[in-house]
Amino acid sequence: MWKRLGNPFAYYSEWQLIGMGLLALLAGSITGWLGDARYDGVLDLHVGSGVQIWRPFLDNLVNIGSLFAPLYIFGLAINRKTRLIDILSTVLVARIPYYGLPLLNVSGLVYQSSSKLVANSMNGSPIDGGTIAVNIVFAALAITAAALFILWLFRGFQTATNSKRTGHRWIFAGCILLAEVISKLGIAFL
Amino acid sequence: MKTKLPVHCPSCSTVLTVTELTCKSCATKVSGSYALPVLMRLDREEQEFILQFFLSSGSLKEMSAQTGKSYPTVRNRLDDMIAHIRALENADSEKK
Repeated sequence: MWKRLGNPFAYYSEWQLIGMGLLALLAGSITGWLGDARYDGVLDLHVGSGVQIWRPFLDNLVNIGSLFAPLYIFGLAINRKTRLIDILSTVLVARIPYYGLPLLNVSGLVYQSSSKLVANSMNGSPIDGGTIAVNIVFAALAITAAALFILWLFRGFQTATNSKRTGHRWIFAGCILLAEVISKLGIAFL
Repeated sequence: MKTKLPVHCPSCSTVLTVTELTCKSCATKVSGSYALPVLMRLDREEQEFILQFFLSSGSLKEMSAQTGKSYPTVRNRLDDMIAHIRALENADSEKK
């Protein structure tokens, strides 16, 4: 089971992965709206207030497109047999870890705690243990989600392209950074 | 008990050569020096993959369904084996 979890792309068919990814995209967009969260970058998630229902869905579409394009182009450069559907399924599935995080902010808990942490730090007021705990837990879960995202994205990309060279990993990292820039610009302008 | 035909020397890892063949029914022995064919020099997993590929009528999709592995995983394995076999064939032609 851990093998499948570590690299689902080696075991599930492309259509199963696409199905999982699309369902998760829909669910993640709803959790984003419920938790007042914006997926404002391929590596980003920010909680706030008053997020409109369509915003997280549009953010996710931009993020998926921003990741897909450079990875598919790079994938074809490595291996002409790289399939569009394998890169798309990789991108869709890799983003799943992010989709649960907004649920922590359904009651505004994370937003209020982080705002209080920032405000109290700025004016030197004491910060209560509860505020610190909420921020630490959210940060830990967010880091875990980001790590799992990178792991799945890399494993999926490796499976789709049969990439073996160490140099490819650096270019892969560059593609993620490029995707981050593209997504930031795309979300800002939309 | 099914025994595995060794392909590489356990001492220095060089590819082994067949020097004697025996007839089981009349005990006739044939001596010489016969290089192992490329297919025999693949490891057991690779040979089983080729057999399964053949039995799937060359369909990677069918193989993927039978083995429980994804299509790109099976395709990557095939591509790696093609590269391995080409390397063995190139090494043989260089020796000639």
